[in-house]
Amino acid sequence: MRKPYMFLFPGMIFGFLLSRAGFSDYDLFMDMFLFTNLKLVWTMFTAIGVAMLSMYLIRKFRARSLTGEPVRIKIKSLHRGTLAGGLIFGVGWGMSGACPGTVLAQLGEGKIPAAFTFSGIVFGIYLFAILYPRLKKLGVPLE
Amino acid sequence: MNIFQQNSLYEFLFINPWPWWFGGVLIGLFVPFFYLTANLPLGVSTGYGNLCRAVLPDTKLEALNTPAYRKIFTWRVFFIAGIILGAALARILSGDYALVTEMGRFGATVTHSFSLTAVWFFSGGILLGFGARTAGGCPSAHTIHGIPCLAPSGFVATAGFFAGGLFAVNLIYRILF
Repeated sequence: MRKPYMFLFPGMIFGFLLSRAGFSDYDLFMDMFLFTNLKLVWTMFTAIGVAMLSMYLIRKFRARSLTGEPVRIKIKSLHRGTLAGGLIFGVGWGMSGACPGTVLAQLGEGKIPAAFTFSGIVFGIYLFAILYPRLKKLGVPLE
Repeated sequence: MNIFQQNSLYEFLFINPWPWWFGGVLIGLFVPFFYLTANLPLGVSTGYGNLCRAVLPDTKLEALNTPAYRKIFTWRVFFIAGIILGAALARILSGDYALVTEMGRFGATVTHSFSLTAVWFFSGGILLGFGARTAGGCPSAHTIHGIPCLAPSGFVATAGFFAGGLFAVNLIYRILF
């Protein structure tokens, strides 16, 4: 996939999966955090297990990508913002019942409040960019 | 209703909620699929920075001038658009696409006021965007991709996501409302 617009296709697959698996369901997220219905936890554990096995096989057989190069696994660094940012994110997750991926699925499904979560995320990133000179001093890198 | 909806496979795939194992397997397979086709790690939240650049094309802020944000219409923006379309397709195929102003039980428990709902979800979104950039990613990159790739950051960020979510939801639904 060399042209950016071609990423519409994997995006559509991912959005379809998120929606059908129940990740765009506000109530299911609330149930997960209230321990009243753990469906999304089991889905997540299954996804993590399947992805872990796949990534192990990709490493073991030094798989090549369709781009022609060997697969390069890229992971994010662990730094002083990882836990703090994660906690802030978690509160937002609890408030909106969505994360940056699933809110897009909610939008596609026609859930109107998702438009506010979506614009909030864009504004939150602007806020991060404004405050970044201070966060940088605290040891938060850009990635 | 079309003729295919009589078929039980169609109902399983497109109409009834997926069982946890089915959704889990397919979402898990998306991680290697994305590496094998595009050689990229799964991630969504970085693309919102490109959208931010689309609103503010001339910004000089350092955090909006990283290599990922040099152009506005990168693969990430199309990936984001694709997610919206894919979810719309899921609802259309299920045969009950509709615009809804309610977000699950939020209206019945917290507030029915549309403007308060707007403020609430916008505020939640701000925390999501700010938190994701501070943590370096969202659950796609850290939980679905990071943990299977054994990234220490994935485990730590995921612990943060869940701790924050548990705190907020239990405060909202068990104490405040």
